[in-house]
Amino acid sequence: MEDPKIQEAKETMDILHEISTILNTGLDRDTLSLCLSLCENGVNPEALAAVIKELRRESAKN
Amino acid sequence: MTSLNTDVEYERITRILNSLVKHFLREPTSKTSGKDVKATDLTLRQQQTFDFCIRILGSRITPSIASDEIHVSDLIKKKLIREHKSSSKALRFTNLFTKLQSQSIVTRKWAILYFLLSVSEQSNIGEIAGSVNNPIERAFAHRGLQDLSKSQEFERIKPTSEELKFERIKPTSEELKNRFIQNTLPIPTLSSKSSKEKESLPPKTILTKQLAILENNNEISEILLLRDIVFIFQGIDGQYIKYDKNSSYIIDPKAEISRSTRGILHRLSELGRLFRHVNDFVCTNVNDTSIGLVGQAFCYALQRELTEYYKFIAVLEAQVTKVTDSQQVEHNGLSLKRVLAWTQESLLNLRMMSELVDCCKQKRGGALVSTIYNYTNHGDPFIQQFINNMLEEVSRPFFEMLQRWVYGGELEDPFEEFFVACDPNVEEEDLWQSKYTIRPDMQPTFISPLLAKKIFAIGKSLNFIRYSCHDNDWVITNAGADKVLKYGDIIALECSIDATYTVTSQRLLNILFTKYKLKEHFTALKRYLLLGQGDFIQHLMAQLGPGLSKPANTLYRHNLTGTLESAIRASNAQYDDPDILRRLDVRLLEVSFGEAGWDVFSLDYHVDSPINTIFTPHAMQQYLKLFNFLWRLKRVEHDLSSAWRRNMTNARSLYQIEELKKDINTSRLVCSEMIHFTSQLQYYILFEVIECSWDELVKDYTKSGDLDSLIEAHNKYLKNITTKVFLDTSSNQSYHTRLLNIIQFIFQYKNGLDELHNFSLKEILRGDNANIERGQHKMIQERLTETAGLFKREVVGLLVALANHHDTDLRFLSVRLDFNEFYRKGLINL
Repeated sequence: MEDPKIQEAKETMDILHEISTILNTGLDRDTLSLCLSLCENGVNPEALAAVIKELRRESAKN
Repeated sequence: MTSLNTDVEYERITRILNSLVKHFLREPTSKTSGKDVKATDLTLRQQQTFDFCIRILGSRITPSIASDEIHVSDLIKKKLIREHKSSSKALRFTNLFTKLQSQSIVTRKWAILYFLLSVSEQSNIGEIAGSVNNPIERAFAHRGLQDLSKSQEFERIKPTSEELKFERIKPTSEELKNRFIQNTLPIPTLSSKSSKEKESLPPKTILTKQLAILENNNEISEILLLRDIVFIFQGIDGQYIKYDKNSSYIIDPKAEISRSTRGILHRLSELGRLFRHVNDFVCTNVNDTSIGLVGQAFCYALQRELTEYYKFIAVLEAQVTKVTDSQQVEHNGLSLKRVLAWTQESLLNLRMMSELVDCCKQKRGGALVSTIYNYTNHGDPFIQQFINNMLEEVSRPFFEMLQRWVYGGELEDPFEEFFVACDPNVEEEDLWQSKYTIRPDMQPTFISPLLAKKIFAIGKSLNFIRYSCHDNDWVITNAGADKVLKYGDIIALECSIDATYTVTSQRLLNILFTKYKLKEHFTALKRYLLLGQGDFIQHLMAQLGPGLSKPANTLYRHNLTGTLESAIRASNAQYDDPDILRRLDVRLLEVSFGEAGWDVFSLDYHVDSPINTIFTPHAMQQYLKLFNFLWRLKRVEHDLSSAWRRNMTNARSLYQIEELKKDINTSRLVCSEMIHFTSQLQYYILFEVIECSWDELVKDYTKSGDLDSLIEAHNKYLKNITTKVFLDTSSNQSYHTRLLNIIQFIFQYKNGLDELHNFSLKEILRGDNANIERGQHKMIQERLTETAGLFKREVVGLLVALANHHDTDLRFLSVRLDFNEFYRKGLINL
């Protein structure tokens, strides 16, 4: 059996991922989990959104 | 927060960000060593991007919303509903959100949610912006206009590598770290933020930032304007907006206010102007008694509305103060536009009030009420409601007056506002006719003229009962009707007025007919002044006859009164009501030289209050005129019959003189002709005119509902009689003069006849039957023939006129006068 904490974390990720899909953000699960941990560490969500935008732009250059 | 803690946090953030960058920028080379997460393993491009990302995170973009997950979830819900036009996605989100709330792992739920929302918004913009990326559009964009929004954004967010070189100090990791921490703290104050930014940002960014600040500073902040506008709402001058003498608000032209804001301010200041207008009116009039009770009620109603307005302003002011204190216009949501929306209702109210003030300024009393009432026909139910409420207040004093008038007959109207006016100078005798008048301009439009007339009649009747009929008790007991009349239910008002009207009028008529014997008076006038009581008139004439033949100046009233008394006693009139007989009197008209007693004698009938309301002086004059004419006719008849009697009794002796025989015969013929004429005329007058009209009068007064209709019936009765007896001089002048001429000729003839008799008797006494005094005889003979000829001519003339009269009664009279076509020949000759 998995640790209940991991279980819960997974559940939370599921929920967040679903919300993200509804909102049509286009973030995959990995990115989402990274962003979540950044947010949890006190990063300004607006700034983070700007970062995501920037990264997307950079990756589109390739 | 301890430095250790922040260090750890910073480490963690860089690590995660590193993997994030790697995740996005997977280099073909690094794919093999993708598991490595060390920062040193990054390629140059990755490193650059990483640095840039760190800088973004380190910048002080503060979250523009409150850190509240519920609020964020609301924002998301709204966005979902807006974009999908259905609530299904929003519902799904709500479910997910509730689940998320129960999760304990995520501590900053709002942050992740807000992050998702921001990204989602970005991706939407990206879709639109992405379309520009196709080569054709880009080409066009370069040749023509630049895509400004994009280039600006680019400059702001991403400084080129060249600019990066210009930066004084590349932010050390220490600085960046500090900035991170600050971002998580509550919003820093404006000044400290800008000063720090100046230090740390590259020059071009500083410039744009400063420009933005400059722009913001020049424009007067909305908070100041809001505060101003609240002052304006209360009629007080603000800092930038001032009241001008020309009754409008002027915005300081020097103030830096954008055109659209000016527009809004102008619209808002209308409220202030209207308020000033209404308030001025109320202030000047509220203590001014001269505007009357209704005017004061109007002021009161206005003031009540203004109080409502004040309440609203107080709420608004509280809001503004809150905003000013917290310095957060956007968040609180109070803006000029919002105030504009909020004030719409008050604006409408004030507009109407101002309108009412304008049109009611010069009006008072009932006129004011009707002016306001005219607005109730407005199609807008809101306005209708407002006006109705207003009217209920304003009309209150009016209805109070109405109530007192209708139930007590009291006219308490110190400012002449009621539609009934009272003239205190008018004597009690004319109470009904002229004491009270209707002021048409004070009659409210919701009271129809008919209703107004009834209301007028009720009060008048009550006063009449009280003061003229001295029946105060009834008025007081009846006034106990504690009905309250008020505006709103006109039908109920009409009903109660109708009921009161009927009761009061019936009561009044009842009093007049029982206590004041109106019916008996009608009868008495007909019997004595219109010669209905034949035996009495006969007696009177017989006893007065000799006396009245004397010159008028030898007559004495007391003698005549005595004669009148004896005539009453001798006839059936003695059985009449003593009260009525007491009123019967003799009257001598103005005596002029050479008139005989006949010309000035007249019977009179005294009327006093209250019946003189019906038997007005004018009506009594008509009665006297009728009496004079009838009296004259009666006298002609009387004279003729006495002449006839004399003729008959002396016939035998008169025949002794052969020469007079023919004259006597002729005179007898003429005499009978005249008697026929007078008796037919009298018959016509007494039966066809007076009796018929009397019948109508009786019918009318039994069914009459109020005093006015009774008076009208009586007037009609009199008019009917005078017209048919040709005394109505206005239309039947020729008939009247002809009749008088005929009567005159009859008198002349009768005098001639008397002379003839006297002459014959003298001759008989002389005893010389053969030789009579021819000269005198001839003269008498000629006069008689002449008078007879004149009489006949007038009668024929009258008959011609009557035959063509439109009234059938008069045509019948002509037939009756000429029943055997005796005058036919004369008619043909004419």
